[in-house]
Amino acid sequence: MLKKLESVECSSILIVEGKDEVSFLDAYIYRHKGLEKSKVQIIDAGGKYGFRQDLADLKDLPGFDSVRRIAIIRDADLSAEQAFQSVSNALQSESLPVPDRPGHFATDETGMITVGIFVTPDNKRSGCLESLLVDIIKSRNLRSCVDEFFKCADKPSRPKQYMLALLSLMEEYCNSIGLAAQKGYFDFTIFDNSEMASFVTTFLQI
Amino acid sequence: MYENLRISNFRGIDELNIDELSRINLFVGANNSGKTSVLEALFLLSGAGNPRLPTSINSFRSLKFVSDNVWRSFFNRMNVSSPIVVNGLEDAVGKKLSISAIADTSDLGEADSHSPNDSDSSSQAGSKATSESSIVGLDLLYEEVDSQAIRRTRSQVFQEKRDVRTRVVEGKVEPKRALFTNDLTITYSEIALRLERMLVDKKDQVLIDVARKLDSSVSGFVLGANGTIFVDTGLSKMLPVQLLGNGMVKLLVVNLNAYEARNGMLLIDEIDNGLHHSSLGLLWKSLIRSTINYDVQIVATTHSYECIKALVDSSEGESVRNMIRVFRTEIADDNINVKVFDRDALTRFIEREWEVR
Repeated sequence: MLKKLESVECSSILIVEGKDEVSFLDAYIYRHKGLEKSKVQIIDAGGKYGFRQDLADLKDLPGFDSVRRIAIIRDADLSAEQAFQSVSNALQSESLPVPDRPGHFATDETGMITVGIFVTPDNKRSGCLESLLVDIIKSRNLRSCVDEFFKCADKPSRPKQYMLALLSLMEEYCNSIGLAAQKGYFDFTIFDNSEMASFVTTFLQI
Repeated sequence: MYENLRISNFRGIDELNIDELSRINLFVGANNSGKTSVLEALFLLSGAGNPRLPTSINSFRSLKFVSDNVWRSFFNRMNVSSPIVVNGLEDAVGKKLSISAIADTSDLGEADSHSPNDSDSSSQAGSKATSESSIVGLDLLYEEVDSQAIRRTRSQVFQEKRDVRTRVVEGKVEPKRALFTNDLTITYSEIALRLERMLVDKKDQVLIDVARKLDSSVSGFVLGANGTIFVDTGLSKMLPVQLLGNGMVKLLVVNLNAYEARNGMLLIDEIDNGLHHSSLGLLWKSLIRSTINYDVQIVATTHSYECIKALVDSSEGESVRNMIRVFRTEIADDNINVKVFDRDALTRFIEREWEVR
């Protein structure tokens, strides 16, 4: 029986919540930045049971004992501060080092494990990864059409819905940011200038 | 029921602590990560110093001779300068088995002889060795401590010329009923004997219920004079049970063993061997029923993810969900560690499609 996650294979792991985030970062890190898959493993922590439980369970995966560097990327949702605090609490309860603020890294006293947290879209605003990606989608000129669409419907344009509407205008059927990233619909040269890309780059260089 | 186990210097295990043992315990992990050694350690401890058990556990591994190297192979890294120690807490009784290597037989006195081919799969279990001296046997010291008393027994198993001999040096402690099984340890004559006991005790309805779930035509088992087990499937003549397939035989054997191990412990190596994954739920449901009805603690090993999932799926009831534990043994830094999963953790891992083994 083939499973989504067999084991922790790398000493550097990047933990996200959701398979779309995995696909997006897969395209960015391995394809755009050209990093070998053996250097860093992107792991979908699920999210159904809460990050604290997900992190505790991740530690029980085969191979986790060899992990030395952990980057955690999660959505701010309503509050970047609350999201950061929630991840910090989970790290603390698992006796892992806690960065003093989002976008930063912390190393434990033994120097064995380094952990960083990034809260999308930019460690400050509420929102999610999609909030960041609307600025790097290749058909940005279509945004005015999507703006009109939500205005006509008289509905608030939440980031995830807004992104879906944008993706529905792509040449090929695409219903997720993960698929969009794999199809090359995002301009990663623009994304390179984002705080999130800077965080990921720093992590890959530790 | 054993609640915990401490093993040191045994086989591939340097030091290993296992807590949270429950009614049904399934050990998983890579090859050579110590799963079978844990079963063997429990078997030796349950034997209360039975000196025949060390050669029995070797014969379960198809190792049916003794030699200096074979005696040393009981010890971690063949280091005979320290004893093997197995500790366990069972129903508020602390149990400890220490095994040391014997370097010579000059002062061993009277002894019983047995062949190392004689595997004793049910337990009723000198001079100090150095790394240079030739090892000819094992010295077993077993102690039990509870609030009332300390009981101890000391015994030896050793090679003398071409025979393997055993002797009890001092004391006698009643062993725990324990049964160690794998596909190599049981013969059809033993199966027949166990069925006979179940038939005499009028407990065979359990077997019929299990068998009917695999083949609804089964209505009963009969023991032939020569030990053949016949099964009634409604045909004009009864059939030898082997003709109903390995799966039927396996389920029959597992349930016979569970009854044989009543009020004790059943140790099953590679429990899923010979069973199609669709029958694993049936296997676990029948074992869960046995552990309740017969007060049996089960410790098994597997490599199969389906087997773990079947255990989780078969233990949904409120009264049984806390009865299961899965332990993953893994090698790290030249030692063996263990991770424990309760049913809630297993459910989360399976739901996320994460590896447990």
